[in-house]
Amino acid sequence: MAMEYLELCRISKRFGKVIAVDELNVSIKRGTLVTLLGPSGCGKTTTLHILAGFIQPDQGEIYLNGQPITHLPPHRRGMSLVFQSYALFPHMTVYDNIAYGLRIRRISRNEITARVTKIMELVGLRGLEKRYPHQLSGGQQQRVALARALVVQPYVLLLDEPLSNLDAKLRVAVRTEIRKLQREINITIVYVTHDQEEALSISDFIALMSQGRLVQFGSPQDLYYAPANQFVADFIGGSNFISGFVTHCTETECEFSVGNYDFLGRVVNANLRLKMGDMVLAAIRPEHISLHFAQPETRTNVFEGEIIDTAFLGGKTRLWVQIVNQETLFIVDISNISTTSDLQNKKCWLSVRPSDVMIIEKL
Amino acid sequence: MNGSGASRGSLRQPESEKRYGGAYQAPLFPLRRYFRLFDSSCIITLLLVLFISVFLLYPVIKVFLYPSMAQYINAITRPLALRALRNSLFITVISTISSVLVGFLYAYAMNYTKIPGKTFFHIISVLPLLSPPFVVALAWILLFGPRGLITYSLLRVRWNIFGWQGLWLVQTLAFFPYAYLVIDNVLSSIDPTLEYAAVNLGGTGKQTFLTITVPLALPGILNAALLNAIYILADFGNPIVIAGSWPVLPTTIYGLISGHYDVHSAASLSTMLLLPSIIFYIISRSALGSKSYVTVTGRSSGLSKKLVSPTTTVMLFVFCSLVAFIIIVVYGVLLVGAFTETWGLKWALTLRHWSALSGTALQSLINSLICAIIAGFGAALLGLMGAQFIHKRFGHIMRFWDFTFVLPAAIPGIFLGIGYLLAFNAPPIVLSGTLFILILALLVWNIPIAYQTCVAAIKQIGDEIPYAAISLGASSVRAFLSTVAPLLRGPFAYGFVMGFLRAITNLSIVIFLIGPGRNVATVHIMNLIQYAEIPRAVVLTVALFGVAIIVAVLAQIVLGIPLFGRGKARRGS
Repeated sequence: MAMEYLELCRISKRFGKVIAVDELNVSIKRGTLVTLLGPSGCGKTTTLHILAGFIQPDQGEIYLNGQPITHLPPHRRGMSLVFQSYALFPHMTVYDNIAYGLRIRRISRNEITARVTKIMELVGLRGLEKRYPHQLSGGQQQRVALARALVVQPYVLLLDEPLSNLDAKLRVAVRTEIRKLQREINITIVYVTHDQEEALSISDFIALMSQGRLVQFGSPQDLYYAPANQFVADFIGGSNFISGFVTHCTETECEFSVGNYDFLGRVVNANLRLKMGDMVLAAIRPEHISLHFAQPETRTNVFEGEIIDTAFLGGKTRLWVQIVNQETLFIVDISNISTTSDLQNKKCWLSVRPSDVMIIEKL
Repeated sequence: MNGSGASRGSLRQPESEKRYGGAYQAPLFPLRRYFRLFDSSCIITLLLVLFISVFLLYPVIKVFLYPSMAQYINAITRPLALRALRNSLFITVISTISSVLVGFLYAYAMNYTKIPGKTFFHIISVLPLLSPPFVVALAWILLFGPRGLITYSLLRVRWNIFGWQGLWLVQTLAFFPYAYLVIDNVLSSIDPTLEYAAVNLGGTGKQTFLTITVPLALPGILNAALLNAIYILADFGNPIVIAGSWPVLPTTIYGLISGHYDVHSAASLSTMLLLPSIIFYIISRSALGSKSYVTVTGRSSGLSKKLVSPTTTVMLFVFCSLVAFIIIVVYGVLLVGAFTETWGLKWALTLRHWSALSGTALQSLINSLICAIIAGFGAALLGLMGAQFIHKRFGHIMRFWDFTFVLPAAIPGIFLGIGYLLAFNAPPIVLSGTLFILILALLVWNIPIAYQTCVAAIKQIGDEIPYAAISLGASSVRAFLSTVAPLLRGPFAYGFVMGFLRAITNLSIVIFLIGPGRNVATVHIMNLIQYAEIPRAVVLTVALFGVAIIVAVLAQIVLGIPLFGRGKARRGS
């Protein structure tokens, strides 16, 4: 088996009775940014701490460049971690914080100065050398943490929810910068976050975790357009779910009926092997639904319903639609509605293209 | 707040103003910041200021002004005084270093290892805080004195513990718990992610310890050192029992009064004792207070403390065990001594000595108990009221009174004792010879503990919680009683128990203030030791220790607050 740059093989870790990480396998290509994504408590930070060597896994092996490194103490792994709290040393200046790892490695004074100056330039911290961490803004602290981790030229850069202490605007700006920086110096990054939008925008690959297990590994597009199961479809982007009985199907497409509605959908999971009479679960994203106030001509992929609530969200308007003869409450995002005042209790029809009906599971 | 509160009230609808208007006019607690003339809080403030002036500042100034300049110079330049001063500085330096070192290692083991029996080690370390200052010295005499178990019975050597080496050992053991408690607090608040960050950047355990842990803990360690230096400089109980003919300032001052009744010289030397204490105290409060790096970060990283290597763990475990063993021996020896026929000669068990616990000895124990309970309660109450009504009320003048509420923590017991002796022996206020003077002195001396914990708690509670109660319709008094008061129960209880313990175990203040038939246990024990009545001294010490523990435990049960656990609970907030 050809090994990737960084391999996690069957990593497991328990804390008492709680299984934090359960047989986790992840392969990470050199120079890519891989996100460990999942709800809080899914084991992503534990996985990161296992990578950094702070926690010893109960079983499994980590390989870096083909070499097992699980037994190595944290200070010999060459994996720099940017902590969620940044963990800047409060008793050191910005310069001393960034130079710390180089001094530990007994690098010559001149080279330290050169490398620290260069990295500070790179992350835009010039002129702040003599400040102490508490004299910096949140965004500046974040850059210091990043510079401190990068200056030692780690094999892998680990980022633990690095943006969670920044305000919303700054968060978007910094994540763009991180992505730019990663491409510039072509470094391998393992990035932990619980924010799916952040993960989608920044990653080459996403490892979506739940309850210590890997649920799906793939590109952001894979996870968005071909979710492996209900959890993925719900966690990434959010979905409406419908279930019905298969009436006709091929490898890639499938017709099914939900009550007296007929649907044609796309089978996103090739190994489902559906046959007639199976019960399937399909996901429909709120932004893929079209709203009509007159009955469309086609009867396939059309729901009849009543708008029961609305929320104006700026770029889009969110509607909650009660489907006629169904218990389902659909969430619909519409971008071209100017007013919501007259929508309440209005009768409507929802339609969706067959390619946007993702058949994800056999029930 | 009164002004804006009234205007806010007027903005409200008439109906609600009628219902809640009263509550908005005069809230109790904002008075801590805003002052309105001639309301009840003003009167309380003035009473507190008056009390502190009469019972703290007046005695202190009395000592300062008692000797003339010539008498100062004469007293300080005497060879005996110079020797005592030199000895005091010497023992303060070495005992401070050793006690802080032991305290640091002890605290380090508690925070950076997974050694078994941490609760046990913690409780053992707290024991010296519960007992009179000379307990360790007394046990040391039983072990290493002229008739000591080890020196006389086992080794049959002529060497004994008396002298500065003995004092050094005893003070190290007696005062390391103070350093341990302070440093434990500091180490436990260091964010472990900082140490993980250092390791992650390539630091070894040793490098991390030297570049991260020690620098971060340094302000706390220095603070512990300064506080211990104050205690050790003022320590009277241990040197009087064990230093023998090796004089230090406190014993010399006592000798000047009890031997020669040379109050002028005693007052002069007491001032010499006070000045360094005040300086240490001010440094520890101002300079180090602002340099603390211990920050509370919002989100926890989920990482627990980075543990040290197995070898270091074993070494630290052995070290803690050794310290704990010595402490157990100290208290064990006292217990055994209380039930032994003749220490060093005849080891038969007996209850004979317990008959000593009658008459004047019993009376002194009862006096101790009464004084300590009243003084502890009073100190807690005044500390609480001071925190409510004095702390940072209005500008520089109140800043001074704020300082007077913490000042007693820097005053050596000897100094305060002499101050009370000089101040209340003659009109206008004559209190000498009564229990009242003992109670007042001990009360004033213990105000800072309750004051500081209550100030911290009130800051933590903030103004919003009582305002929330008021906005829900509670009257100001009701809001205070239902929100702030329950939250101050912990600090109050802590102030009471600590004040009680310090009062019942105090020797240095009360030794100057006891009158005929108004003896207290610690002084009685010291007299017994000086008359070489060791078994009776031991019995009374064990009894006093027992009473102290019972009251401390009872108080914790009654108040429902664990006061001697590790970490935040200890400060009761």
